[in-house]
Amino acid sequence: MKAETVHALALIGLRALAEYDPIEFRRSTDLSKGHLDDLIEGLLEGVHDEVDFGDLRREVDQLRSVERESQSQVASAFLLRQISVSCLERAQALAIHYRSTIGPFAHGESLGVQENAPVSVDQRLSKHEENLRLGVMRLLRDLPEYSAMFNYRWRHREIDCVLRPVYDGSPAILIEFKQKMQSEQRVREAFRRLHQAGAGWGKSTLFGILTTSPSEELFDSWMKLVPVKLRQRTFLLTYDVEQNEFSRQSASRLIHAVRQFNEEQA
Amino acid sequence: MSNIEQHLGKRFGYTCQPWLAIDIADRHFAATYRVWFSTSINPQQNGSSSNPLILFQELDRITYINDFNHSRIDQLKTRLANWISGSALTSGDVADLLAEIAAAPVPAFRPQLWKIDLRNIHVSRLINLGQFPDEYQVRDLIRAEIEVLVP
Repeated sequence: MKAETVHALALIGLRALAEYDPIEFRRSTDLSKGHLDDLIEGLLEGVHDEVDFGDLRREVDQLRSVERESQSQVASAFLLRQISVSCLERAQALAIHYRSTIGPFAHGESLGVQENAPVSVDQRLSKHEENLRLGVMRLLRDLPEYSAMFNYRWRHREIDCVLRPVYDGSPAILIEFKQKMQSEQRVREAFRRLHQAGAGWGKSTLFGILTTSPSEELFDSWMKLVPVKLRQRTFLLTYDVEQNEFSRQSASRLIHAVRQFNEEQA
Repeated sequence: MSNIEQHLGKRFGYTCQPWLAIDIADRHFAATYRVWFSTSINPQQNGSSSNPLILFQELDRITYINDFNHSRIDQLKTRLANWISGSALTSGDVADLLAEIAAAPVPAFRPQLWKIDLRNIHVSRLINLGQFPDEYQVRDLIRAEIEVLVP
């Protein structure tokens, strides 16, 4: 699927909006209806070999048909609104699919080496996934009010795991997994990326780096590598895979922070 | 009458913007904002979605209780998606942003309340939207022209 397919669908929705709600249309864009028609036709030409082309053409034809033939203004507005909403929603659904398949990697924003990666890298990633999930599930035994979403995509980034409360207003917890945390530089970078990924999640959001092998030295000093304003909301969780426990009670601080937040809210 | 203050007879404009709209404008539109505003913080004759105070109160509560089923969130997602679709961005960026908007968590819609100094804005940039008596639009606002009242 091409991005142009998504764009064309969204523009057809916008074109329908221009007919039934011109004020909302002006709020949204500077384009004229004529310019919008040209853009849609231009995009359709670029996707005529796509499987969705027939659907796109049908939506345009339906739009034209309603504009020409509808019997009353109320009926026309209803039908145009329906076209607008369905086209936009479908565009968003396709956009999510597009991004999950060829999104960030296709734009060169990430590693760029996946296609040529050796098999051993896949195996390492698999271990990464396994330890992440084991560590998170161990944490959820102490935080049963949370549910976990793995590989959560948000703003061009993928967060390894997002923990969200099922019922109450507890803070969200964003978790990144690092197999090894041996250098200060690596720890600092890991926290920096996690905090960046967490922009937009609200001021109560908590951040955790889950690791299976930190150096002893770093365990005592990692907090100095975190910006002061984020220290109270940032946690290093050291997970012992063999014992299925968090070593040196590293999860206690996070659990305490959640409980304290809930008490303050109550 | 070269500035908006002289044209409307009001010194300030007020608007309420969700964080995600600001963030997208910062990243993709060189921190140039397409905003509606009213000349009163609580314009009684405007609808709720064009009343900065009511909108702020509503979004503040929605994000506080994480009310992901609220119709205001759907409305804002639709508005953001329409804005992006009709912008000059490439199809790739449009597709990326539509996905981002669709998947945005409720806290991404936490509100900011802005005050706009109308003395600094040329009247040619003013758009009268015409739906409500006190609702206008500026399509190229920059940071220097606003003051964030409530971040």
